[in-house]
Amino acid sequence: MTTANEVLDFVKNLVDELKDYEDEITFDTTLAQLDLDSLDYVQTQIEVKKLFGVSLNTDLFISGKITTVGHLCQYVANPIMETETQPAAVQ
Amino acid sequence: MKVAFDHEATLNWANFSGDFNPIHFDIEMAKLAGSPDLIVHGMLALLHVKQATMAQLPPHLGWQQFKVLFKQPLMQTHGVNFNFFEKKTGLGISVGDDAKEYFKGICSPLSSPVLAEEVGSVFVIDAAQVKAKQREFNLAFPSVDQSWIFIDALVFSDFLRHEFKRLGIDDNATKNSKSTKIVVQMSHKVIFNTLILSRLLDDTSIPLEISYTVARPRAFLEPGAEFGTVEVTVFVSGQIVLQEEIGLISKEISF
Repeated sequence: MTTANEVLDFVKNLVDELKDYEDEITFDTTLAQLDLDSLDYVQTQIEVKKLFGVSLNTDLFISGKITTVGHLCQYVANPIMETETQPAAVQ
Repeated sequence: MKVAFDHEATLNWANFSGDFNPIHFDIEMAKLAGSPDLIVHGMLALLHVKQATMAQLPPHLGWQQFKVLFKQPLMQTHGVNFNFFEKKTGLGISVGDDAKEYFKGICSPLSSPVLAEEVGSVFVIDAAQVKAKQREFNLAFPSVDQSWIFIDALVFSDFLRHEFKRLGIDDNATKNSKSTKIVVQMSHKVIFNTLILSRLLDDTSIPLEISYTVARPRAFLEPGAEFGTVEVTVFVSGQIVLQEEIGLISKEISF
């Protein structure tokens, strides 16, 4: 089972790939602080699906359900069961 | 030093790769895709970014991962700078001008490539074809001399020719309907090992046949966009020499 700390390590590496963010990334770091653009969100969705098998619907970010790294780590570690807003995976 | 890509370079890449997407040749299609001018193929610009990246690194480092995101469309004849800087996990790469960053990436060490669990297709490029394409590549892009960059370009091009439509992506956009789907590359990742390649390629008496496998694509649907990645693993003499992950995004454009 994936832990939030494992996801945090993944997020740190991903942010190093995508951004020039120098500060320490913690659960409290907000996604706004990371200054993610739409392509960064797409990359995050792809990498999370690939590594953890979890689908991240864009609506999770737009609706404000995920606004911090901590929210993201918790969601990936304990994904909510299928909802009406779950993204369609085209496999 | 500023680098720019003109119509001749664009045509050379299109001829080599078979990528005649209208956003590179038709100004109206480029405008519909959000660019005021004709757009440079990401992979054309990347040839030179990869070559410049290698100049920043010591030779034969073992497995390396080169990954770039295409953040903004780069316009033809528009001069850009290549910048390199240290990051926590590797060499940071930025291609831009004073106003914008067009490509962003990183080159970092990797233990080894991981084979995809599900392989969809296997392709072989025979030795004669490899030789002919290498000659064409060397003539069109004489400043690019790293063999992994050629193999990456060759396999990417062969993949485009064989697999693009099979994936349900049609790049032959027409203006006859009220809307069309434009597919653009959003990212490119290459895992390579120059040491393994140099051992295999130094013995020029052996005809070089290249084979590659295409993994089942990972794709997602979101309102207004479809995006995904395709993983391609490349073999020479039965040994993995390179792996590509191609990121594609398709958008509906209305006229």
